Amino acid sequence: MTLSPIKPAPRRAALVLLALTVVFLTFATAGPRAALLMLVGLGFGLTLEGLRFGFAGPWRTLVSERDARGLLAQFLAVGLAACVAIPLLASFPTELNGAHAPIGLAMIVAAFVFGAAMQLVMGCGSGTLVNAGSGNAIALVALLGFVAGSFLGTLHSSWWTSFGVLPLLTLQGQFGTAGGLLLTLLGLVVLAALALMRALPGRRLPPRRLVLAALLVALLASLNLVIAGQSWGVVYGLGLWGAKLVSAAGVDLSGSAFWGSAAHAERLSQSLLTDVTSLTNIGLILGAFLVMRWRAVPDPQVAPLTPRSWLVVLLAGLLLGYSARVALGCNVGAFFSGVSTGSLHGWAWFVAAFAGSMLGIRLRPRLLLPLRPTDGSGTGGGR
Amino acid sequence: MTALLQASRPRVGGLSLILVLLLLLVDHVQSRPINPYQAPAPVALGSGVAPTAAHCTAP
Repeated sequence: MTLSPIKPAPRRAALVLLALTVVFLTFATAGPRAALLMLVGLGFGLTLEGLRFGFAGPWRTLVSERDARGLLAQFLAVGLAACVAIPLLASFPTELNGAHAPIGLAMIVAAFVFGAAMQLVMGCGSGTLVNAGSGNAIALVALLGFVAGSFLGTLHSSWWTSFGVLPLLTLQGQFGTAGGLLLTLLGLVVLAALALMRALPGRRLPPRRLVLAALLVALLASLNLVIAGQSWGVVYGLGLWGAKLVSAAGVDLSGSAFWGSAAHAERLSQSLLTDVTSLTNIGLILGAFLVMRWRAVPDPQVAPLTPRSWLVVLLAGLLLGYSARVALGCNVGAFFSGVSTGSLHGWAWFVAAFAGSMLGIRLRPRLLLPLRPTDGSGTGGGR
Repeated sequence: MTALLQASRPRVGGLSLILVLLLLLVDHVQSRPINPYQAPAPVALGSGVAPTAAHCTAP
C-alpha cells in the first residue's frame, strides 16, 4: 500500500493541529469538562498505542508464550490507580462514584464469553477502539459489531441481571478504606505471583516502556475519576452510540426498560459530547490514529482473512458488546475500574474473563483463517 | 468491500475517524442543543455536585 506523500514534519504538525482543534471544538461546544475528558481520552489513545499497552494481548502471551510482562504491567496500573481511587472515594463520597456493581450469575457467564470473544478479535473494549483508530481492519469490523452488541445488550440487560445477583460488595465496605486498599493490593500481588510462576525466565519483569505505560494509564484513570466524578469506562458509550443510531432511524426506545429509565433517557436525548464515556472513547480512537500517523512507517495491515473469517470477526464483535453489557463492563469498566475502586465484581469478572480468554485463544486459529498462507503479518496486531 | 478490508492502516484509521464524525453529525441532528449555561463544573472533585453520568456498571 502507498504511504502518504506528505513529509513527516508537516504531517506531524498537522496531527498536532488536528488534536488541538478537536479539543478546542469540544470546549467551545460542550464546555471545559468535556474538553478535559477529550484530553484524557486522547492521553489514553496515545499511551495505549504509543507504548503498546493493552489487555487482551498480555492475557494471550501469558497463556501461550508464558510471558508475564504485559500482565504485570496491567496489575501495576490497577494497583497504582487503586492507591488514588479508594482513598478519594472515601474522602469525597458524594462527588465521586466508583465502578461498583454486584456479582451475578449472568455477569460471570457474560465475562467468560467476553474473554473468549476478546481473543478472537484480539482486543477488549479499549483495545478495539485503539486498534480501529490505528487502522487495524479487524478491529474496525469488530467495533461495528461491538456497538451493535452493546446496544442489543441494553435491551435485555434487566432480564439477564434478574438471575442470582448478590448484594453489591466492595472491599472497603467490608474492611474499611485502608483494609480495602491493602486487600486490593494483596490480591494483585497474589495474581502477579501466579503470573510470575507461569512465566519463563526473561519474560517476567515488564520493560521500562510498559512500566511507563502503567504509570500513565493509572494517572489518566485517576484524572478521569477526578474530572468526570466516575471511573474510566468504555462500554456504556458504545451502547449509547448504537441507541443513537437506532433512534435516528426512527425507532422509539422509550418502551425499553433500559432506555426508558430516566437516567438513560436523559443520556439518549443529550449530545454525545456530554457523555463521559463517549468523550474518552472518541479520544481513544483519535489518539491511536495520531500515533499511527506519527510513525514514519505505519505497522503493516493485518493479513487478509477469508470471507467466513470476516463474518466471525463481526459476530465476535457483536458478542463482545453484548456480553460486556451483561457483564457490567469490559476490561476497563469492570476489571480495571472495578478492581481499582474496590468492587468485588471486578475480581469475579477477571477470573471468569481469563477462563474465557483461554477458550478464545484455542478457538482463534480455527475460526480466523488467513486468505493466503501466512505472509508474516499475521492476523493479530491487536491488544 | 474486500479492498476496504485490505486497505492500509492510514486509510482504515481515517475511515474510523470519518465514522466517528458521521456519528457526531447524526447525534447533532437528533440531540437537544447543549446549553452552555448548564455546563458542569470543569472538575467533579470539589464541585459539590453528585455525578450524574452513566457508566458500564449501571444496570
